[in-house]
Amino acid sequence: MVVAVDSAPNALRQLVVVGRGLIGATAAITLAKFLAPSGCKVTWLIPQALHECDDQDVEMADPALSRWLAMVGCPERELIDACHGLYSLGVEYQSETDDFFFPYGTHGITPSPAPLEHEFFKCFNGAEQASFTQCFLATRAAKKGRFDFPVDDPRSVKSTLRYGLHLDRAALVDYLQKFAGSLAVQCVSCDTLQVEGNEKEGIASLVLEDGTRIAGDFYVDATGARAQLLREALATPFRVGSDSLWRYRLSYREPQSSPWRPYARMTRERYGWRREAGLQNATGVTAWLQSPSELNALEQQLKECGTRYWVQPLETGRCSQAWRSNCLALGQAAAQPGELLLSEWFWASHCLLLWLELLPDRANQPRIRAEYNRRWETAYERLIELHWLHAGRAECDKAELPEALQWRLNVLRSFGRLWRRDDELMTDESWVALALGLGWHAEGYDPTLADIGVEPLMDKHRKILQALDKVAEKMPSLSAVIKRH
Amino acid sequence: MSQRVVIVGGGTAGWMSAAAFARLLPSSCSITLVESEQIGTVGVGEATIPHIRYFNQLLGIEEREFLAATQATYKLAIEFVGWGDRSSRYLHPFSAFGSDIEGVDFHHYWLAAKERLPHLNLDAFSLASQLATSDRFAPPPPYADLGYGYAYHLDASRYALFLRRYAEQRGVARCEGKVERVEQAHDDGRITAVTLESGARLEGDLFIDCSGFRSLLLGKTLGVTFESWRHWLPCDRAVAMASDPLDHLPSYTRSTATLSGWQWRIPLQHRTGNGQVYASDCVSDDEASYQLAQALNSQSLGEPNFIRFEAGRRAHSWEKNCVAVGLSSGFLEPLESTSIYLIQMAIIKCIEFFPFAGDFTMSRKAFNRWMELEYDRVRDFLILHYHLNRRKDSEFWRSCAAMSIPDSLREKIALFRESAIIQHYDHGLFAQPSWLAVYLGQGLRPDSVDSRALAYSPSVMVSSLESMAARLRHLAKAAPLHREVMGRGGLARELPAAMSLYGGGRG
Ligand SMILES: Cc1cc2nc3c(=O)[nH]c(=O)nc-3n(C[C@H](O)[C@H](O)[C@H](O)COP(=O)(O)OP(=O)(O)OC[C@H]3O[C@@H](n4cnc5c(N)ncnc54)[C@H](O)[C@@H]3O)c2cc1C
Repeated sequence: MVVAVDSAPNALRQLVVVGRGLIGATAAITLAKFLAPSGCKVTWLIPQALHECDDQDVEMADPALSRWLAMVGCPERELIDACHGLYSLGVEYQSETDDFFFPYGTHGITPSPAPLEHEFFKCFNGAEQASFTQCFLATRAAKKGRFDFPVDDPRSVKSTLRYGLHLDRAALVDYLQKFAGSLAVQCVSCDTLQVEGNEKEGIASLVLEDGTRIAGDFYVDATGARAQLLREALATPFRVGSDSLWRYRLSYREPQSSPWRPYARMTRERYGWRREAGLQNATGVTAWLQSPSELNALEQQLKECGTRYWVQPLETGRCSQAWRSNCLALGQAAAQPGELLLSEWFWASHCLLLWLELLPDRANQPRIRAEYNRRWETAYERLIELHWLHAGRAECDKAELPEALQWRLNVLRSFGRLWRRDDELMTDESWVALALGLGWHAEGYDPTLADIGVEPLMDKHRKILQALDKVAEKMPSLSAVIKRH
Repeated sequence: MSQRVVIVGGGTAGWMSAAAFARLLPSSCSITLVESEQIGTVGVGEATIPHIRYFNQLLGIEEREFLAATQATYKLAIEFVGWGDRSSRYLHPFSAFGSDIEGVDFHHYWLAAKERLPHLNLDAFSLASQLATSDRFAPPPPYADLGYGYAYHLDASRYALFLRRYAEQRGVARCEGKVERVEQAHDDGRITAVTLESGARLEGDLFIDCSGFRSLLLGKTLGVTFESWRHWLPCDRAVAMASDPLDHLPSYTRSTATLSGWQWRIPLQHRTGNGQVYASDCVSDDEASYQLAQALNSQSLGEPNFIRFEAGRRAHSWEKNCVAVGLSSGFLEPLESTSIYLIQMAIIKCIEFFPFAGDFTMSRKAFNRWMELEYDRVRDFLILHYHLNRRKDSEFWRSCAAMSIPDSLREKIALFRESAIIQHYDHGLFAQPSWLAVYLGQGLRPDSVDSRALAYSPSVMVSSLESMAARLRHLAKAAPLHREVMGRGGLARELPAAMSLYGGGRG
């Protein structure tokens, strides 16, 4: 359609994104893609000295990333090659006592008459209920090292698949920077940056080391935990959460396992959690640790092997608001919920899309801001809950769980039902799968199953597994898929 | 998993509960229902929303059989006349308006182009509205962007009778008689049995209170207090009057604002249900009845039925081993036909949280928490209709406009006023399209719209909206008249229903 800039006199015309990492790149690209058509210019300021980045890191992205790539028109296969990437169908969890697979996507089996998971609640007590996730094609395929892309046809079981990506983070940022250039984002590199503005009037401008002044109608702070705009310039208070479950995040690389695995692995360790996400040429390992002595021990071990590693102290918490005046902070600049299963990218892009949905103009619109902050706060709580879910069995006493989570788990235990809430980050199915895998079980089940025997249900499940295995066998191996590129 | 369930009351709530329990609870549960012909039922409650189709399908009830048994007709919308100001007229259809354009909600574009499109109101962008305004009916076409839900107007007494047959065939025992005494356990006060006038005694593990406004078990016996919402929903009386069926058989409910309340018109196959809801301190019963008789569109049948009520709900609906379903748990006036929906929700949640293990604590907590949310969200939406009026012609409307409203509602209105954005929530009955219909229908004009909707050349936008509306008009014209569809006994084949107001489409 024809753009008529004059008819929207209050529209945002100049957006300035500040930040050197993945979140800055994502913001610049998304905003350019969606707002440039209505006449908005996006400047992306990349302060080189801003924060030390871990160039070892692997981005373990859930399916939201591939959806985003499609949305902004970024060629996924090229990106996979540039970032030594692999496709992933889910996450394998390992602990001393039991293993389970957390699949992406859905099982796609319609309730007959009760939802599928209830059949498992009826058939099994305790940990065995987690075998529910065996009824996902993703689980069956991943275990065989197979991978395939989802199809559009709802009659095909492959329509239940969704995939995540493992990508070399530094290469990903480089790639996205080039891609941003192709979208008419004005990229400006600088060494240091001075922010002019205050709490009352918001951000006025940004001054580069050579005196260049950059001003916009609206600013996106993607400067990481330092939050140079939101916290430093606008003095927004940061509230440390009482719930720092893991105080350190340590990452390093290991040689690539062969053959390539179409999934990530989470292992419960004495110190906390260890995550492996494979790339084509290496495996990225990330550990979340609780105590300084455990950290020392792990560091010692890595030093002895001559492994380079990177440690980030974690301070869980959030700013009082993520959007103040004319400044929106994304990712760690707004909050630090941790990123065990869902990465900082997931959370930042989720919030950015929320902001775009609400899209303010240049007039002061306190209600939109309040609505954004309300929903952002909810999203933060939801993320924090996921960490409690991971910690529930070891790092914390169950009594300490946040009330909302405790309630949800009690309802799950009593009735096998998920307490429905607004603004969930995960589908109900995924949430149930995760909770079951992490050690919460249901004692009740749908009453419509009461008159059905266990045997016919188990028989039905066996048949489902056989059918899934048949499809999985015919899927190509992950290596074959990557090589076909 | 065995339980003895006793249902007290055989109105819509009682028989819906009995039928659903008979279908969904294990065979080891026994179900008994007591009702008293002498007391009778409230005798109203004829307009529904699309969720009832889901309920019927869950029970395996065939639509055509149901239509014949309950003399039901199809319903696509509610028309509001005289809400806003005296001359305003809008529809609240079971559908969204238009479809998103490049990720931005349609109504922003409509608002932006409105000056140039005075002939196209919001209803021009809903197929359900287009069908309703021309007294037509058709099931939604298979294009997602045009989807909508539909419901029924039904004869409540016949529906109860229909469900009674269904339930009795599935083993529900029915007792006729008046409950005179309720027995409670000495230790914890739970209900152990009810005794009828005849002396018959019915023991149970779980009691469902469907005794209507009397709230015999929850209110009278267990003493759960009533929380009045009269300060927000000031009407406290209704008079109902049936009249001859309408020839053109509308496929929508009409709600017409009067000086001190409003009137409903519900078209059934064999008659038209009419009623007036009013505030007793503004108008007498006789006057209200006279006003209603004057407003009838067809010859009246029988005597007026006067009903007293108070808007509000019991502090909670589940206490000890007693669950209140229907009017015994609370009442919100039928402005948006929500009572049967709330009955249905209570039944579903009671089954979902059924206390099989014999421990009622979690069941009670979960049920009460859920129903509270449902009630509160419906309440806010109803208050909106009263509060957002611009009528200056009576003290009743002036005081509704000036009243203080719940914070949750005030925030929603302020957000829309500022930016045409509708506050988001996933659960609760009324989603974005419904709020939009009422905000705009009652004349709330936002200060700004999404700037992306302003960025397009007005002439291009106008012609694109015009062609959208033309497509819907065209589709509506091709649909049969509602009267004809009913003449054939309803749709030949029923589509699957969803637990959504908008037919599983948007919202
Ligand atoms: C004016 C008005 C209009 C309405 N319009 C609509 C509408 O359009 N759409 C909608 O969804 N809802 C509407 N409603 C609500 C709807 O009518 C009720 O929700 C519905 O009828 C359910 O009523 P009930 O079964 O709870 O109570 P009732 O119909 O009052 O039934 C109570 C039952 O309990 C029995 N009972 C009571 N005491 C005893 C006792 N001591 N012993 C034995 N039995 C006893 C009675 O005999 C009766 O069977 C309207 C309500 C009013 C007041």
